[in-house]
Amino acid sequence: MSKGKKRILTTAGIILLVALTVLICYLIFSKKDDDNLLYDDNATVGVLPGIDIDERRKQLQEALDRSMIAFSINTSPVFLNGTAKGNLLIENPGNNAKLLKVSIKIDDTEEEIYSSNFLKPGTYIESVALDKVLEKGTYEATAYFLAYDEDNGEFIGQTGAQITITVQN
Amino acid sequence: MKKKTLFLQLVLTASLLFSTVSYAADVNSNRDIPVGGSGQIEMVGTIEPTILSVTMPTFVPFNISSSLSTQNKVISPRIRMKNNSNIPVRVDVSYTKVDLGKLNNVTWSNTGTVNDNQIAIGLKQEETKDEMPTSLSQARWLKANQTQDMNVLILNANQEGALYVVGTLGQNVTDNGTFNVTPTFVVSKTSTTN
Repeated sequence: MSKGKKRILTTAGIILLVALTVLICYLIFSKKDDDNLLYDDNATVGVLPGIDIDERRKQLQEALDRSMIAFSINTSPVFLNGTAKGNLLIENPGNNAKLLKVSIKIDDTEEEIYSSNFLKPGTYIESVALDKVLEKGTYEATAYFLAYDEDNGEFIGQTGAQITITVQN
Repeated sequence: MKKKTLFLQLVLTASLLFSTVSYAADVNSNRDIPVGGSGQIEMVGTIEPTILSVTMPTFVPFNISSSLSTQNKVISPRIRMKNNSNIPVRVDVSYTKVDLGKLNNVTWSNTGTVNDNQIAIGLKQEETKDEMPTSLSQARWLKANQTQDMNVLILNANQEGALYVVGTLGQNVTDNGTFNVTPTFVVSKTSTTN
């Protein structure tokens, strides 16, 4: 190979090397610039209202489905006397995936007569004494089921069930 | 010999007599009623408790927008409710907590009729499966911050039903505000069937 050809090849190699270096530097610096992008604080994650109703509805449905709870309770619990245990039969079914608390209030007075601690999914309370001593009689009451996130204990929402409490003596 | 035979006959008669008596006593203890006689049977009845078992939401998210072309301005999820009991149940809204604090000069309408600065939100039973209502007819309107006892649904034993949030808003109510409406659903047994 002549000296001239060698020189041309060497020059071409150097040019190629420089071009590669420039390309690599460009990619590195342009990546860095991406990280410094300023995102608008006023932007909200989601779909613009009125733009895609089906998509919006799907998001709402997912939120509602997450809040669904199942529960069971005796509609007519009976207590032998004001301090005795009665058959409340409260259940937090295993498929709930939520913690439940139960608060029972007398309808007329709004007085809370019973408040449970958290019930894990798949547990139930068969019989329990009320927190307040009730006189002999029949009481219309509402049992409120308060749902909490099982992982972080965050309050999700509540629903209620109408019951009739009987204290026999 | 005759005496011996007579003695044996007496013994046999006596034993038969006592065995009959003892048999009668035994019969009596089993509480059979002799024909033409009288007796007492203890019948023990146990009242099984009526268990109310339902599946329903505890939180109802929705969007309202004046840009919707229909009379109903709410985008609502399908509010499913399932009666898992063997008795019919009714679902009422007992109370609705409303907070319009983040909306300027906006008030609540309890009737569904709104002026320029009002919002009204209600519930409507599903007419066609998975279709949001477009009209406000037959809607039950939520009253703000007061007890209501408004029936919204009746479910037969083991039946599932659904509701939708519906609503409207006046022309001066801006779309970019948020407000909270928290109805409390209360379920109870009923004799009425759907």
